[in-house]
Amino acid sequence: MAASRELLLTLASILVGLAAGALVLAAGGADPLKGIYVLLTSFTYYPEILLVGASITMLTGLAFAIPLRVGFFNIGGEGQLYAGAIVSLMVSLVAPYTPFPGLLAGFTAGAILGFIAGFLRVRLGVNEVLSTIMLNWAIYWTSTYLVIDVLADPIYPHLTRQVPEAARIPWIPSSLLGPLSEVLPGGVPIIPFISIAVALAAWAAMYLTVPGLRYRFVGANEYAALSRGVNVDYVKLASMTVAGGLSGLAGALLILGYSYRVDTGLSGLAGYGFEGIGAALIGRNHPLGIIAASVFLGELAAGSERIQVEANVPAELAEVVSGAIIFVLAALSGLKYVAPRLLGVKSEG
Amino acid sequence: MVEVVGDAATVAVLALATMVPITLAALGEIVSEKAGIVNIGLEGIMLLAAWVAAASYLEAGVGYIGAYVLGAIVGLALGLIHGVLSVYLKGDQIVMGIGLNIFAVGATILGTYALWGVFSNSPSFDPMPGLIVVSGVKISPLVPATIALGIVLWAFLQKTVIGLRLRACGEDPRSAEAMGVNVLLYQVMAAGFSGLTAGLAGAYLSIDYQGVFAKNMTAGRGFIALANVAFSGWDPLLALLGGYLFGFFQALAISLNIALQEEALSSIINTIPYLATLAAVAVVARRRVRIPRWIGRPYIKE
Repeated sequence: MAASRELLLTLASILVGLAAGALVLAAGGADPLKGIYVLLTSFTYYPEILLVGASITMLTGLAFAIPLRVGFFNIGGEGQLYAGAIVSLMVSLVAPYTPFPGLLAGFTAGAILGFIAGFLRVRLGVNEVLSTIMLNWAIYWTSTYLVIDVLADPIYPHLTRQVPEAARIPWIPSSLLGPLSEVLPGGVPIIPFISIAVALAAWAAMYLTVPGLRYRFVGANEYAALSRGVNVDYVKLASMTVAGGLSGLAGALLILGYSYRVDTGLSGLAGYGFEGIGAALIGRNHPLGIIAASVFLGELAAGSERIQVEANVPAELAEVVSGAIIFVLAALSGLKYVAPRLLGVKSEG
Repeated sequence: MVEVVGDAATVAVLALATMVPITLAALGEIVSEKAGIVNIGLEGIMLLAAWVAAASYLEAGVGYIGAYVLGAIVGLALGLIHGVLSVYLKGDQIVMGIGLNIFAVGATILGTYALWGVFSNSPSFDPMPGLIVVSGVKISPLVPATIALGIVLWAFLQKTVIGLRLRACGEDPRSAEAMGVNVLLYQVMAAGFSGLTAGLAGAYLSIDYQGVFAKNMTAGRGFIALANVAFSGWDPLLALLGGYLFGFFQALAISLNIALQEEALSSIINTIPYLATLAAVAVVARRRVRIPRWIGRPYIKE
């Protein structure tokens, strides 16, 4: 399908998703048009939410997009992110010198979870949607145990201890920002730059390296790849492992670079994994598209936070909108079969 | 530990209560997948129906039966929408389900806040009275109804002409079409049925099993139902068995938590149903079952 038409479909889906948000706002008694305006323009009020949300969602978005291309649905971003966050916090408490051990451990924790789901699928044929969701819940409860029983702060028992100063990822102080320091009095977190670098590296690995070529070959036609001697199972397993690692890294970045601690309900971690699915689908599974889509979803998060504060509508409005966008994108994805002429493509039926 | 073992009977009975939602949703989904339509949005449908049932019971005074009916109607509507978009618009069945699940979590939290002013849950109320109480466990009318439905669906799929036609839609829609079966209509109806049972399952959770609507209260049950579909090899009778097995793991976790009264350990115990479900599916995964051949793919007429 032509790229411009894909973009058109994506924009149409976003419009319908926003319309769903407007309906919900209207049903809740708020002014829907003003609400949507606020939803789309609040980054100056909550720049940190946009920057942090976008950088985390970028990675969980890649974690969904990478296996999808070889036919796997990694719905485990949520659990992989929890695991990365909790493990990196634990490592930072044991080795409180630099953030690097925590980042590595977070990536590894997520990668192990991705590997398990990939292994179960490749070797035993266990559907990865099932295994990743079951692992999400198992990790949720295991993390809750660790947060309450192992990592609790003696003074604030509903929170964990904090990442020690030396193990944190530094921020760019506002004094270095010049004219922007008014908007960002707290400075700028570095994690968005790390995430963008990772996304660009993923793009380069996919399009400029030999393993990336094999990966795209499997994605385009796994039977052809198999007949050409590509180890298809290995490629799929590797893609799930890398994906898990990226979600784990996202959790580590969130803890070491922004929130420094977790609450007993894991509310500071919840939702990023599922939002990544939205970023991947809106970004058309392309690393560069995912960067853009993550910024859009980060804005939705900032906007819904402001709506919660000002109009008293829960910030889960962002989930309603992104869920609706995903649904509509999926519903329209078959148009190439139904109305090929409308889209200017030859029938693929 | 002695008391725990002594409570084995309670666990066995409690498993009848916990099996209902995962079995009901799985039975509907078997019918839908036999016709070729996958709906992984069961979790979201259950959650929305659970909210609608609780809200209508608490706020509209429709009674338990009315709340069940409304939950079922919501499920049916969502199932039909999924079916129509899958069948006529050839939408991506898996991704639509993912979108629905995310939407449902957000929408029910917004709804809970709008009605009751809190983020987490509705006021609690007396759950629907059961038929009898065994070992201190209430047996809902939906327990025998679920078991009966499993048997009826087995007979329907295996022994009736309509059941055969429905299975043909999921196996080889072109041949079914050539036989004179209206494939698209069958698929939409089957998808609607799956939504209906998921709606009943959701309503059961809020008004019958727990007597409250709580945020995210389905807690993966929609996906355990999907695990049950795979576990059963698309056989409604085996889905009854699988539902009881997975329900048993949940009942075990609940009973262990009550017996041990150990706050820290409770989180670890809560992982049991999920890990056991995953293990059970992994164990049977190697068995070569007949997966409906046209499952999840759009059927494009020539």
